[in-house]
Amino acid sequence: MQPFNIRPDKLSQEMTDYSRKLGKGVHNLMNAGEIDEGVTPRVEVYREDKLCLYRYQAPSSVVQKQTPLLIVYALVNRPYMTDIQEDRSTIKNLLDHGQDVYLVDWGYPDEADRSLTMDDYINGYIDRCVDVIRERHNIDKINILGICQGGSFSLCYSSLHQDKVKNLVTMVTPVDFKTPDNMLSAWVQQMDVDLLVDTLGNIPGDMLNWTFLSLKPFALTGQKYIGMADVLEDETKLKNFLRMEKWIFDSPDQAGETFRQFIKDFYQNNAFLNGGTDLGGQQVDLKNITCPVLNVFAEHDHLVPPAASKALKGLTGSQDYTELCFPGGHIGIYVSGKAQAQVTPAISDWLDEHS
Amino acid sequence: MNQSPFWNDDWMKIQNQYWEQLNKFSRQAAHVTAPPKSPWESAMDHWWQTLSPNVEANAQDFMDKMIEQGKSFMRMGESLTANMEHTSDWTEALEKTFAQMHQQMNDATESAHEGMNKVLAFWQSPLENWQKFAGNLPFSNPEPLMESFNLTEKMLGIPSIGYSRESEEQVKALMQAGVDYQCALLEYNNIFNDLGTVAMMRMKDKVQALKDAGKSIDSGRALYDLWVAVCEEAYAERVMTEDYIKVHGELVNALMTVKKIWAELIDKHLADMHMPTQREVRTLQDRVQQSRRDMRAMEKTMKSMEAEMAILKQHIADLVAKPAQSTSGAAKAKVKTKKATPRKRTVAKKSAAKKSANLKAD
Repeated sequence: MQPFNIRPDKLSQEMTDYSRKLGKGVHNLMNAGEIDEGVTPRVEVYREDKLCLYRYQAPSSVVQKQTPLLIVYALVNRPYMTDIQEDRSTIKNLLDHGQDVYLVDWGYPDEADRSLTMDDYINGYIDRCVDVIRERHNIDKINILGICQGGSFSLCYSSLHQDKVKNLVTMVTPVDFKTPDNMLSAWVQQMDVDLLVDTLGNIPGDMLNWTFLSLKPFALTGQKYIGMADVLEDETKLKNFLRMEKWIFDSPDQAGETFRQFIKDFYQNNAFLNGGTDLGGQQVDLKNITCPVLNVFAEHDHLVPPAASKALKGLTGSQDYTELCFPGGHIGIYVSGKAQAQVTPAISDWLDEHS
Repeated sequence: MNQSPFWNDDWMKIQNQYWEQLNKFSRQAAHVTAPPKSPWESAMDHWWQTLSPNVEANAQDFMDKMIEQGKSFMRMGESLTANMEHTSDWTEALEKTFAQMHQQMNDATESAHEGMNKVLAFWQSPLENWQKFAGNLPFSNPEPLMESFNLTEKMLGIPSIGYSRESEEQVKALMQAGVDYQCALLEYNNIFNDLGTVAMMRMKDKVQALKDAGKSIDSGRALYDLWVAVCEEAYAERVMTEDYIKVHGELVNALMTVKKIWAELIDKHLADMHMPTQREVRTLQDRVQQSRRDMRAMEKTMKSMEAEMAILKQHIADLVAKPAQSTSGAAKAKVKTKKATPRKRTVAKKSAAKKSANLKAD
């Protein structure tokens, strides 16, 4: 038996089908209109520089929990990933489960923000957002959910402000930045980060896009568009595809000084494991974290390998540490139907158990 | 007849015939022997050429990518199918297919194969991505300067003298950085040179494994998907090697060196024209940010002092209001003291702790 059974007539049919899909799809593409960002209603409760703190509006039928939850997103890409569409919204799902959800939107830093350091972000912006929420609810402690780099920031924050954090959830968060399967980490080891930041000032979003595309260049710059032909005929699926495409390339620039410290301390010196991160004169020590911790990671994450997240176990001073493994990828953990059914309810249940 | 306004078969057939003939005459007139396109490919091209002017720029970009990728994977399937007709040895057919693809890839003059290049020159994709990021630097093409590499090196070694020594040295530094960048780019390119061969070997292994398992590839898409998977696998292994990590780091560092010297030269010219330089602006940014930090810290201290003062004032007020009360009465009044908000409590605690620490340090 031959391993190739591509009959000319079948191939011809394949070509015709592909062409037909394009032909019909272009009409949908032209009429796709504006691609929205985020679906759940929200109100701005605090603004500082380019940062905006939002509170999401829960359905009136839902009784909200007393302890609010602050989502700290990464500086890379935009946070509307967590609220990407009606049926794939982590935020909406959390609200439906009774969580009172706040989110920090970092905005788009420009040259004027180049000097912002990790200390400014963590002991400054995040701390002030936490204080705003505490005052609004007249409580001492709130719950924090950190995503990816935002998870690393949340770990730093919790270690320095444990008195304000009731429960900490980390999602797809890098902790051990030097696991053998971490491509991003390998690539920055020989990079002169000081030269990079001194030259560019802020790190352009385009550079980050280039880096992320380089993780899987053939699938992400070619194959994906063939897959797109399959969804062109379906207006809803097409819109979902375009929404994801918009998010992928919606990459804010990174404040130069923060990028410098993050890459040097964490990617090059693995600071959570080896120590050495100084924020405003205080050393970050994960042992200071004594609150309950839920660490959620994705089994097929190509950006933050599971081992990089799982390293958190045993590093904190918490006596209550739980792991949750999701059988998907870095993005799928927010946008897949499976994640909506499994991950978000599990987070909400865990928070309820620790209320 | 298909009713789609964008895909009218009859109209397409007539258009196709017209363009086929026009292309044929054009080629004959120019004495060019371009390889014939398959009818479906021509049809797709002509359809898109006609429609694309009316399509918005964003949609055009998507459609271009889909058409380009679609043509590529169809060609791959078509080529393999044709080769399978002439031999019973699948490995020979596969090798021949990829050899043809390489041949076409190398023939840069054939615009008809540009799309093919995109998909077959998979190992060029990272470099292409890099070029997009690096921008249109005059040093982006390694060839010209490298051809006269030794001469350039010698020229850059001549010491600068005279009134314009400093400027000349800066320009030389830029030239040297340019040469270094081109060397790094060449190294980066070289590291992917044999990736195609590695991918091809793996492709054979994968196909053999399918055959051994009694399975077969039965569509152009399945063939393409397997090829992508194989390329990703080979690429992922390569980019985690020590060699690649070193070359990658050197490439980024070399580009940044060029850009940094360039920026310094621009700064110099801006300064000559009494305009703000990047260096000056950055110094100001740093100072402003430091002032903002100091102001925030003072605000925080003030708030904590305000909170402490409010508590003290309350104590004083209580004492003044009930001066004659007994010790037990004063204790009761203390309990009635207004409770601070959670935030004020934390701030006050921290402030007290800080004061205590300061005292200890003193």
